[in-house]
Amino acid sequence: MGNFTDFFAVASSNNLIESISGICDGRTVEGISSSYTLENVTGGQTTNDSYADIIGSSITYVPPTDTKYVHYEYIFKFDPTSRSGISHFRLYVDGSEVTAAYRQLSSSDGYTTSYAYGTMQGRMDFVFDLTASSDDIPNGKFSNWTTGKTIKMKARRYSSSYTSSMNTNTWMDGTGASGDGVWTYPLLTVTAYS
Amino acid sequence: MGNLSDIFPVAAGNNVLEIISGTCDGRTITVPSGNYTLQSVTAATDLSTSYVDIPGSSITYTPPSDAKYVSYRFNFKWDSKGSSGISHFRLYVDSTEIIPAYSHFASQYKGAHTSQHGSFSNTMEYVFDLTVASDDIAQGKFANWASAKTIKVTGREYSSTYQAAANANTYEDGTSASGNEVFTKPVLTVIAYS
Repeated sequence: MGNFTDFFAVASSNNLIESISGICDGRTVEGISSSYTLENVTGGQTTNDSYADIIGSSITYVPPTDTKYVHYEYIFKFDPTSRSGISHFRLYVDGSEVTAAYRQLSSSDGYTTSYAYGTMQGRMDFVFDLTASSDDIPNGKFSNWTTGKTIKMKARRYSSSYTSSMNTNTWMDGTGASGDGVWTYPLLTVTAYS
Repeated sequence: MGNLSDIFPVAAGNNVLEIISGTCDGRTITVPSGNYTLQSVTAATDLSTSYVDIPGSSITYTPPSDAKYVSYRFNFKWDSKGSSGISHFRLYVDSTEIIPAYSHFASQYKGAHTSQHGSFSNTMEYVFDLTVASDDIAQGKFANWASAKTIKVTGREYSSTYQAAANANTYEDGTSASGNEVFTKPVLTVIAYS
């Protein structure tokens, strides 16, 4: 016998509809209306002088019925590897950039070019507005997001003098990182609100 | 046919009462306790040697009647504009500072007051306790938060030598940032828990 609520739906007691959250290790996360397989990150990723997709940041998301807002949050290790590691991060939905989400991350410029010790948490954080009367994707506003759209990030470095990588650690226990310590899984969370 | 729980209420399935979460672009968010319009951030804010309100951080909030805890989280881009950019951030409820929430942000000093490249994703975060018998607002404890209170973040730089900005980017695509990329809209999230 099923649950009573299988036949008589229960009104939500708050405005949280679902939260898809996971370490990007290829796991499948069940939402209320769809399941999502996160990308499988297996190591660090260096930036170069052209934009490239950030592995782990991509999800093709179908908001549940009644969704008004979708919060996308991608948390990763950012590791400058030369000088301050100035790097540029952009957010896309189905190939269109959400320009309002653009951000630059960097550490301090070192005393010399080899002192690239700064390392930090990187975060891309944006709440898409699904209540708009017409699409304004550069500002993250959508009028009719009812099917799967792919959200992802891209990154590049400032130049070959300012290098960086993602998901990496340079140091570990007082010496150079080694083994599994050389990289860290990113965390992707997508939350739908009514 | 409506939901059965429209007639026979059910207990909440979790202790989240409501979540206000949005990119600070002037949007109005409706939750069980009311409508909340986030500030519209349209530029970076250079700090000075006196405290100023950080745009996007302010919300005038009335928790639901059965709220026991209110989580406040303000995610914003921090950008050094001079030397290491030492800067100071304080959290207020109405006109009272929440002292334990104080944070200073800075990048590394390189040994000269130049090449101020530090640029991070930063967070001001605090969970207010609404279960106490008497107010201790400086510690974020409230006995009777039943009407609207304004929560906000203020910030200043250490001195005119150590300059910083909120919601700012200095670089873009291998050169100086320009256009909309000179700033990043922050994200504000308020969660009420029972």
